[in-house]
Amino acid sequence: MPPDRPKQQALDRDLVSRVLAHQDAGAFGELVRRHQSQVRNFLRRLTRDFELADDLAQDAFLHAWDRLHTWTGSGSFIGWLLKIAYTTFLQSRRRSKRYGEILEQVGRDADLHGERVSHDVEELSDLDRLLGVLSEEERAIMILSYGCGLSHREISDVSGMPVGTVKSVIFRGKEKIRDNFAIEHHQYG
Amino acid sequence: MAERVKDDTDRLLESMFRDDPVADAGFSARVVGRVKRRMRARRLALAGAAVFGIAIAGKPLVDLLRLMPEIVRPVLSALPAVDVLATVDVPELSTVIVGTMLLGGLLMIGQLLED
Repeated sequence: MPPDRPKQQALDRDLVSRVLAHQDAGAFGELVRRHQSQVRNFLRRLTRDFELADDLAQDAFLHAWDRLHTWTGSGSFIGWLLKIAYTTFLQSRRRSKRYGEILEQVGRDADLHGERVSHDVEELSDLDRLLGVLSEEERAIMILSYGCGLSHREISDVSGMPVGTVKSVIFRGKEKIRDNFAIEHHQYG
Repeated sequence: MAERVKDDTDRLLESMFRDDPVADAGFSARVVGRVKRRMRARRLALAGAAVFGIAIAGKPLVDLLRLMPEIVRPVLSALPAVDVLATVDVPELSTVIVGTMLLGGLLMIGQLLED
């Protein structure tokens, strides 16, 4: 946990209180400014489509506005926001064929590079291709863990999975990545 | 990441995910704009519902108030202490009540629109 995280969470709580007490759109705007980068990055990684991701992020923040009174303040605000963003993404995917088409394209790209590649080739700099070997659920969990820096407990809250399952999914995801991209496997300790 | 011992895959993934922050570039302003439009729409809908409700309920309410003298007068005349009140022109009283209610309704709508 970053050292200033409790301070950031206190600021989030203060802003949420202001929004709830006075329907203060300005305070809500400050919350959006503080967290838009993480939410948009999460959705961009998940959808691989910046435009779609930003539309979903806007919808997610509007849902957050509507449900702000349900945030208990016990967990992190960003965790709560990412949960809404993930739910928005899942609902959108069910409605839209566009996301399926994007996934198919990425799958085809990954097949072109199906053989194991070494650590230092340029393909590994393409995070999207690397994530392409994962299932959608694994990808979401890996992004929340490595991209958003959430703890296993927070990922459990966002995804609705038990903590043990979250750990298993991360383990499995790493195995798949190693199998596909031949990363050296030794502990740093 | 402090929850486990990091291996090469962890380090690789962490380094790959180390995104530059996404620039706001008007994103938060667009979200706040949509929030404000939504708030305005809700207030207008509420005001519209109030006007609609008054329009629907107005006629029966006026009819009811017109009947009030016939209902109230026997009650008032049965009370010796308030005999004086019975001499008040009750139809005028009903007009005052309707006027007060309409004024209250208009003030409420005005407040909603101002918000």
